[in-house]
Amino acid sequence: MNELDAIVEGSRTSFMRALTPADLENAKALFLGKSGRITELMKGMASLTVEDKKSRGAAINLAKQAIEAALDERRQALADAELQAQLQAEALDVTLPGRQRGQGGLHPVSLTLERIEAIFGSMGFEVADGPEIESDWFNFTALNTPEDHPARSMHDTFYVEGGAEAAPNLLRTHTSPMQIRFAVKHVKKHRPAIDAGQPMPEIRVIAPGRTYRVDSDATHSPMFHQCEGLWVGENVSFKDLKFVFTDFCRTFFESDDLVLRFRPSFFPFTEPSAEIDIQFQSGPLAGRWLEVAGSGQVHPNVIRNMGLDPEKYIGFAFGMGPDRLTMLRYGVNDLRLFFDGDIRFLSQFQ
Amino acid sequence: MQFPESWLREFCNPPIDTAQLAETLTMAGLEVEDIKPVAPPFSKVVVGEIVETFQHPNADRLRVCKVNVGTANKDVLGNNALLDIVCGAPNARVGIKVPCAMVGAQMPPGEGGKPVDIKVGKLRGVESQGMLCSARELKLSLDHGGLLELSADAQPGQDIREHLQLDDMLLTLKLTPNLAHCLSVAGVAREVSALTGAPLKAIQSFSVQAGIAETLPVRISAPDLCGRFSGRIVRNINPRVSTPQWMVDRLARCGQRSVTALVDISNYVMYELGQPSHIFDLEKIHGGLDVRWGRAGEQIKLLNGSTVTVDEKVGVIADDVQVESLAGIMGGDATAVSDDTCHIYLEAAFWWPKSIAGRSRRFNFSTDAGHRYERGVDSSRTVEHIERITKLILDICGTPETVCGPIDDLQVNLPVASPVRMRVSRAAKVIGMPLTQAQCVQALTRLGLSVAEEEGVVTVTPPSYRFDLQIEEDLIEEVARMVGYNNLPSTPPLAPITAKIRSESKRGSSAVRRALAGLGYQETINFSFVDERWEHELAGNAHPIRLLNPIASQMSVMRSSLLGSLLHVYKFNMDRKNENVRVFELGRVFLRDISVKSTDSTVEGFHQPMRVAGLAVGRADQLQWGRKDQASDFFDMKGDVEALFSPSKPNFEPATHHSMHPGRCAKVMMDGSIVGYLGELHPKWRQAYDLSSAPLMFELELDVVLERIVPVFKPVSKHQAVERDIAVMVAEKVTHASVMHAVWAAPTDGLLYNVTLFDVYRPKPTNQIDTVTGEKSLAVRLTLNSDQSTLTEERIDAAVQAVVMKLIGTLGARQRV
Repeated sequence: MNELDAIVEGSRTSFMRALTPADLENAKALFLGKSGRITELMKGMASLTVEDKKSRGAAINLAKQAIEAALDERRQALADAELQAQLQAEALDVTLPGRQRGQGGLHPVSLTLERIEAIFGSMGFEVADGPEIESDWFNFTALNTPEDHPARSMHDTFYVEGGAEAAPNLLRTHTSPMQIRFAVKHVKKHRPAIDAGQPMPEIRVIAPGRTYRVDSDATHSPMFHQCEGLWVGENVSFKDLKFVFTDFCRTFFESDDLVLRFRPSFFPFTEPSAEIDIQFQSGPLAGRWLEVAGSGQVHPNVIRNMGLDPEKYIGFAFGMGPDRLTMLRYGVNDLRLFFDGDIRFLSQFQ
Repeated sequence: MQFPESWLREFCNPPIDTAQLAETLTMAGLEVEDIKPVAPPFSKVVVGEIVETFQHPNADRLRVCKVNVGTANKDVLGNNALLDIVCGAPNARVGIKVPCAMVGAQMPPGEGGKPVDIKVGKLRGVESQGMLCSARELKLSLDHGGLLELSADAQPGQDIREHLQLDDMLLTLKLTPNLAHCLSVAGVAREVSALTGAPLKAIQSFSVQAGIAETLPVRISAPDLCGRFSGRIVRNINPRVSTPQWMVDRLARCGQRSVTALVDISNYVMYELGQPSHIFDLEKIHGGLDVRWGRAGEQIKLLNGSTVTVDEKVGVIADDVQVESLAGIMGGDATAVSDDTCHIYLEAAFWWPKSIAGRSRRFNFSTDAGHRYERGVDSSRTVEHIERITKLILDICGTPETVCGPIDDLQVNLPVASPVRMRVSRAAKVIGMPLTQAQCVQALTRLGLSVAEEEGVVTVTPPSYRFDLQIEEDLIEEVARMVGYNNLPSTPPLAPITAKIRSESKRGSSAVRRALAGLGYQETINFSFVDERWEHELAGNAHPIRLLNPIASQMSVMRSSLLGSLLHVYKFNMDRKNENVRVFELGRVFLRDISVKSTDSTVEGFHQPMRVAGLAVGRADQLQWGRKDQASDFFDMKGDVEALFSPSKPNFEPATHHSMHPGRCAKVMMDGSIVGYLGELHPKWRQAYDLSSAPLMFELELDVVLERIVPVFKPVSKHQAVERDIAVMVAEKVTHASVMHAVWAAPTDGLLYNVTLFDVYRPKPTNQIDTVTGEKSLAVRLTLNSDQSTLTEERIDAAVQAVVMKLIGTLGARQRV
């Protein structure tokens, strides 16, 4: 080993012994500093011939570069080690729980209403709203259910003070009054077009909300939800009702083999009328017929009360029970749980 | 309506089983609500006749009976043999026939669901070869008064199921109001015949010879009430006979208990044929009858014992002295038949449905007669039905002296059947499927309707028992029903595509629900009717809107605030050991408002806005390790409210609210209007409502919360903003709002972009006496910038100085340095 190789080797050893950046800088001075070994060697070249200077200088330079490389390597190693130590010191127990306020959630019936709105929204239905203290006219009479009609006894009505004796105020017994209110507004808005013989834009609307009947047991609550649907146009048939509602139910329950049954029934405001039953093909309720909605073609008297000519405009309406749909969807077995406010129950639907 | 299947099959007996029959009815619109067997399963129970009884040698209360069961028990030689059966029933006596469970009989399943087997057993040393049964032991009724005594003509040895016709089903139909013609067994049978093609047994007609010429004078003064009134006198009957068992049983299977023979006969024919009738005690009628509208103030004591006052809208049957019957609904007590009635007046009428409809509901009761008449009873059959009733009266209550008068049949205003036209093309359009005229005719003919045809139109003249065929749609429905709803084509509708989407400036309720859920609130849905106390105390509403017929006193008024309901939810969960409650509700409230008129969207006198309200109590965060555990306070909830409105910025001003702590309550202001309240429950209500902590609450107008500002672009400043912090000492009573107001009012040459409070510090008093100094230090950070140029130190200092001077000048502040 010649002298230069020995110096390089010596530098490597002293750099390795340096355990901190300061140590390393001290070690560096021994070789590359003003009076370091390499500097000394350079000074010692003055007495050499030009030829020797050339070859000697090149050799010293090589040695210097080797020392500098060793220095850089050591610097990097020390920096890496320092970072490692820091990272280790900063390590967390990532299994500790995150900070949070706690989760809230929607009521299960709201989840159902959201989905109903989304599904019908995708079919071009708007969403309407209306008062819950209703007048006798909108709740019954306009829906072809005049005073003393036996169908009124199908609804055990809550009456509200105020109003005339002949036309008492009441809590709406169904969401159907909203179909009249919406249609009347729609027709008024488009009256000039209708009168000019132009086509009226179709009425396509759903109206969800709270409804009330004097009834209370495991399957009846004095307050419950309904969602009304109405589609009136020039050529909207009973067959369309069946298709639309079937499509809705299969989408809602995400079950393509769900079977629907239309059963003849009677509502004063529709004719022909149908109760809609559904049947699951699998799961705990498989094979049972479950009533989910009342429906039918809008009665000509109701079309007239909307301000339209039943010869020209026909369509269908339906009223479904979101509470029941919610129970079927999530397997809830008691309607009363929805209105108790028990957080242990409600928080299951986050 | 409930009736036994066997009765229906007497009229029409299609070759299908019970389940298929029920399915057929249901799918035709006569919903079968319930099917249940008349009796539970059991076997080897026969008619037994007690022929001898002996006292049990070892038990005072037991007897040993020798029981004849005919051929059901034979001895080794093949002769009929008596059974020895030990029995403890008090009515066990010689001569009666009772159900006898033989050895090997299976008795109805007990509580555990397992059938009980009858074996030879020893009771106190005496062998018993079977068991004599009560109705309760056979699960036929709850009666356990003793052995079930069978009729005297029962054949010993006959299977009891056969004898009592127990292999029968009870069908309960849920009939919609349009199905008046199905409110009898014969009516349902007619429908079954149309649906299945099975023949309908003709109803046998009777005609009783009049033995006397006597009639009761009757006048119909109100033809709009009564279209037909038929009646006859029957004299010298025996009112005390008991109703034959077969009739009692049938009525029982229709859910009708037996009353007296006469009443039972009247009821029986109503279930059979659908015709209500009334039997008067002839001797108690003063003079003749007048069928008329009531007169205000007239009173009648009814058969059910209640006394009602009638008016001009209620039809009555009156005699020369008083009102004797509520027309079509219920008879009066004064002329009711009794055990002493020997002479009767029998009446069957046609009452116009509109003149009966709703009347009994007005008096708060309902009757089978009223139920039928308000839906419509066939006007063409009154005489036929009186003959049928007469026949039964003669058979059951007749005596050798019984004589009948002629039927007096007054017809003053019968319904005229108007032909109803149906266009085949219209039917096809409404139903949405291709239909031929032949299909329509066939469907309607099957229903027993007579159909006339012309090109593209069929015309039906409805029979007198159909009250639901009046317009074209009625016939379209019948066609659809007979074609079968199952056969509707399943092709999607063709409809124009139009964009319908909510405006960007108004989000949906769902967005608010999701936002609150994200802030940790759980949604609840609570009743709109509440305890009146909540309205008084929590909403300060002395006159809440009342329900006229509340379901319970704690649900008697409509809420004008959602807060009571949320407090109730808190209490409910607190009582179940959950002290950390963060809940909300979106719901309507109900306020009296005379300025609200009847419009397409409102009801006169009521303002019914939607609100959103929240309540939080307990920990601000979940129980956790990484932050100081502290209870939710006013400013947690205020932050939630601000987040809900964001990016809009409501103002909060000190306010009072009935339910809230007066020092911890703010009204929420948007554009100068109050849109809600935020605060802590008043301690007095916390105590009164027995709550462990005072929750924070807010209630806001939902409409305002839904509003969103559609963003408008503003250029971003080209220059860097600078920040300067200042701290001032102010009196404790100086509010943050007044400080902000002063800062913004300072003449900063338009450089002030933002100001934020970032510290509040209350120095400790330097003397020993005071606990507080009455002062606080507020530190705020000013953000300054200019659109025109980079700010110089001079301009920055001038702006900061202007703010400080303003605070000193308006609020008496001192700058801390």
